[in-house]
Amino acid sequence: MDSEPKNDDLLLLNALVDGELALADCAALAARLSSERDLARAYAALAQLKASIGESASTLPADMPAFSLSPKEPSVWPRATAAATAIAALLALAFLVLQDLPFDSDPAAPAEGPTAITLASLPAGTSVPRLDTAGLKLVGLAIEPGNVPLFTATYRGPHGCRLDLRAWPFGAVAPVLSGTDRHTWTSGDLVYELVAHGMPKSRFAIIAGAAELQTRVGSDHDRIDRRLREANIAPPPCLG
Amino acid sequence: MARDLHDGLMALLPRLYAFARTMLGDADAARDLVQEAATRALAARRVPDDQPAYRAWMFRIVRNAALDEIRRRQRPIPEDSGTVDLWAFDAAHIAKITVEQGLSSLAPVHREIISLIDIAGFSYGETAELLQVPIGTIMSRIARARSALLAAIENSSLRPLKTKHG
Repeated sequence: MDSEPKNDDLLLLNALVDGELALADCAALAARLSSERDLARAYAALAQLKASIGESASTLPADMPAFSLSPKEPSVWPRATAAATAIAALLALAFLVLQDLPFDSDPAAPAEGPTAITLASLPAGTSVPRLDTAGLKLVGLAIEPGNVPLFTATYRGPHGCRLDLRAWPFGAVAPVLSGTDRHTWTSGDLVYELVAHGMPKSRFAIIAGAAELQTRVGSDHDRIDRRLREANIAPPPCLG
Repeated sequence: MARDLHDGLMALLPRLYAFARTMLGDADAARDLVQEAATRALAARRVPDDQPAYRAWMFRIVRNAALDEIRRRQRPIPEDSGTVDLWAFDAAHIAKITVEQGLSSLAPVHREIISLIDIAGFSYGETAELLQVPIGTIMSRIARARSALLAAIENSSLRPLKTKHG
């Protein structure tokens, strides 16, 4: 076991978690993740950390104060005024808008190709599809070797879309995960389930097909790439 | 018309507040700071005319104000919680509560980069532009910040309870 963290690897893992890795580096790192257990463990920790920070931030609006948006003259900086003129409707609107807004302002148009990630800590052949080309970033990955499911991956899009992907050994029974749509398939000895939360059916069908293809050995990467790009053309907003 | 350019401000407020709160570690101060920034933005004569630039402009206003506030308070900059062996880190220690506690113990520079990338959702390129540093600096800074956060979580006595998912 090589337990000495390498600075370059830390940079690469963080960039992968952030969806910022170039295609060539992404493929090389994905290959290493499938064989280096410690690297896979570090990746899982970083992915979970990012997801937890996002979760922490997304719950803030519940205790967020209301703000007054009137273009009056500012008071002396940095002494601040209390938001005594809070308008509850504005708070509600801000909260509702947040649910449907991207964390980043760009319509997602990543340059990365669809390289599924395989992790050394999971059974051989277990894949975590990349859906970046469809504008869906992998924001969370909980790995539980030996449990059902073996892993849960969460993807989020720039307009609030969310997908959860789980996998478990064929024959095992996984707890039901609520969602608005689901696609289940078998690959090797594993059952995969992709669950949508408010995504329009037509777009979900395209993305689910691409995700399924990525879990199959020898799939046509160009075909997967085309499907994901198709799903990213003028995507309709998610409903919940 | 300038007023139209502010149409996206309401939607930005939750993230501006989350950013300020993480930077300052103080909900009341963050509320006041964001309120002041919004008021100043609405009164500004010149406003960026596209949404990405507007968003970066608003975060820059809040960031500068937060840094001023941090300097004004002259709080001692916390020491990082040492190092962490990321290659052997137990991800079960990561939870909302340990992350929030860990974030509050980080140095401002680490809180800032995590806030911009993980809370505000800026890309590396956008963050580099906002902070006026090369992208390579952003890459190393976010890696160091997350390592510091993981170290803070590992060295904390706080441990999340196991929950059953389903």
